[in-house]
Amino acid sequence: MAMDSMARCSFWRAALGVGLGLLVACKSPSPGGAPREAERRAARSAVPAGAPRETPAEIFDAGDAERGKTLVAELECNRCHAGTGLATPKLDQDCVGCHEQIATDKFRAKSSKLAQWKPHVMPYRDVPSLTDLGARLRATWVRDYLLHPHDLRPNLAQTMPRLPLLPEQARDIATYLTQDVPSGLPAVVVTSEPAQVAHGKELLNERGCLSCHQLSGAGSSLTSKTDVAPRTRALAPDLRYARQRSEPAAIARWLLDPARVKRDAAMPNLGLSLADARDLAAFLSFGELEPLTPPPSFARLPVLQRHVGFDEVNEQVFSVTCRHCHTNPDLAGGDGGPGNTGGFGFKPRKIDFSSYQGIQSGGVDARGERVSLFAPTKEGVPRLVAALVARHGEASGRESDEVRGMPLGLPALSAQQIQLVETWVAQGRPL
Amino acid sequence: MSRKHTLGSLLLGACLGIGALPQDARACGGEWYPEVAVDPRIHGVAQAEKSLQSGNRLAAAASVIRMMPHIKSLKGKPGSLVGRAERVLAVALSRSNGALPVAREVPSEVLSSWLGTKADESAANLQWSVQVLQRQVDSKTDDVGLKTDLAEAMARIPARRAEARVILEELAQRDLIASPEGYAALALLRSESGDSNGQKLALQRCEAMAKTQEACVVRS
Repeated sequence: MAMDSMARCSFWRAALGVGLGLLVACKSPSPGGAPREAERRAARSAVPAGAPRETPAEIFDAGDAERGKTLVAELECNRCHAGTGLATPKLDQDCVGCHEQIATDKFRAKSSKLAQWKPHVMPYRDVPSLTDLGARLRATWVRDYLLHPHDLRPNLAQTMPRLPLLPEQARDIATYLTQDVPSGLPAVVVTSEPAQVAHGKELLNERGCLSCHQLSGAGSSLTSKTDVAPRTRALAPDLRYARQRSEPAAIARWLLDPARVKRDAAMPNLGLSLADARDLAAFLSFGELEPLTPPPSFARLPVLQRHVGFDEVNEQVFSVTCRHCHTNPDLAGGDGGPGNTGGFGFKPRKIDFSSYQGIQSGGVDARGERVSLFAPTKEGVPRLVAALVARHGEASGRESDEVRGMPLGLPALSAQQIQLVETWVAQGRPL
Repeated sequence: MSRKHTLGSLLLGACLGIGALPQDARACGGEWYPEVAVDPRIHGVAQAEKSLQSGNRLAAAASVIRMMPHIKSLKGKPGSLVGRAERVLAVALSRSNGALPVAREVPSEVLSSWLGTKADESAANLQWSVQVLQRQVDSKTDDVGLKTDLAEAMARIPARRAEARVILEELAQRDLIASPEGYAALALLRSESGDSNGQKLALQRCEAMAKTQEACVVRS
């Protein structure tokens, strides 16, 4: 029982965690749509050398901040993120706090249990805080990211989960989260002047930014060092998205003194001069980046010819992944996880991966009717398999309209794991 | 006055102190320690559920009877410890046609009528199974696993077979029959109504799901 709630809380914190990811410096406009669309726009709007400073294309149509705050509470953003304006939840609802206690042997459980859980929670202890968001991020980007989350932090296992949000709700949340901007921040003018951009690129190398950050599409002229401890790098976002996430001036201010822009900043103060911060921001905002090659579509492996029984697929997949959020509430103090009793804005779906019979019993759909987890999608793929495959697409910005990728916000299952599930289903779901 | 107060305080303190002693405590070597008792049935019921799922219905039933000899007089909610134990016993009973040959595993003084050696005993046992499962379904109407178990038990009672068929056909239509034994029961019911093609399909599903083919043997 404790294991269930622990594991649930742990994975969930992590999962929701990454979310609004905001750590670093960044810039540029990002209009509404999936990350790929946003990137295409960014690529198209690459600023010619010497051109004056660009401003974001889209003006944010502010929503209702009060409603946004209510939504933040309903979606339980505080279970993973700090800086939501809500109280820290109790430990059994506090994903990151719970994981941290397990990782540091402070969680009240047998040492044998802690040893068993630890490897599972270690990657899920860090989640970006949402403190002082308005000083760093464009509201348009926050809104779009909420609707179409993607892998923003390559060193973090989890990503922001795809929550059940309508566009106007995302707008309200973005309005709420970005409404407060600390006062007294210095005024900085960042331009795309070639000398500044070139100097910024040099600084990126010299200052070792890539020890923690990745910059996709930067080409081979920038070298990445990885001598920094993995946990230190965990929250560092891919700087490619900086130009979409933040105004150039906001990036410069952030680089100048992160703690002044965000009270709980994890980014260290690099001791940059105003001119260096400006030039670095210029490169991050206007430097040329190669277009990203979309990863190939996920290819399912053919079903296995050997027998696959429930014990095997349960041990390899269901009990180690699905069960954390979809379990039997009777065995977990009444809380079957967000995928069963509801949570993070999701209605109760009553899906139970804790037993064979529970899995055969399906889940409740949006109309409140019980449906099989194995009912075929439009493409004829069992829904369970389709959800596992869809997670691969989501990571690269390809969302399925029919199913939500699973595991929500967590790394996609391997091709072999999905093959095992698909084989088991194809064989008639044998015990 | 102050002596009175002091005495009063001492008396109050003593009373509070006595009240604060743990109720479940034992003396050992002159020291008191709290006694923590863990109900072994928590583990026992979970084991019984596993036994039932893996096809060892007699072992599952026997362990429930040993743990809760008065289970017939209990009425657990679905999901509660008693409710789960009742469900295990009810399902094991129905899969054994109301007769549990567990004389070796269960002390004679608690065997009651579980052996079901007489026809009326086994019939009463099957009725009890259906009653238990029906009560649980009534308080958890959305649980299709429970519904499957109920319909399976009903299928063992000739007078309830029509109801069983309705439940199972409805679940089968949505691919929600939650156990191979549920499909076996459906096969039996279809066979009795002359639907040999439907019987074949249900048996195929049962055989695909079951660990052993014994679960799919159709007993009328």
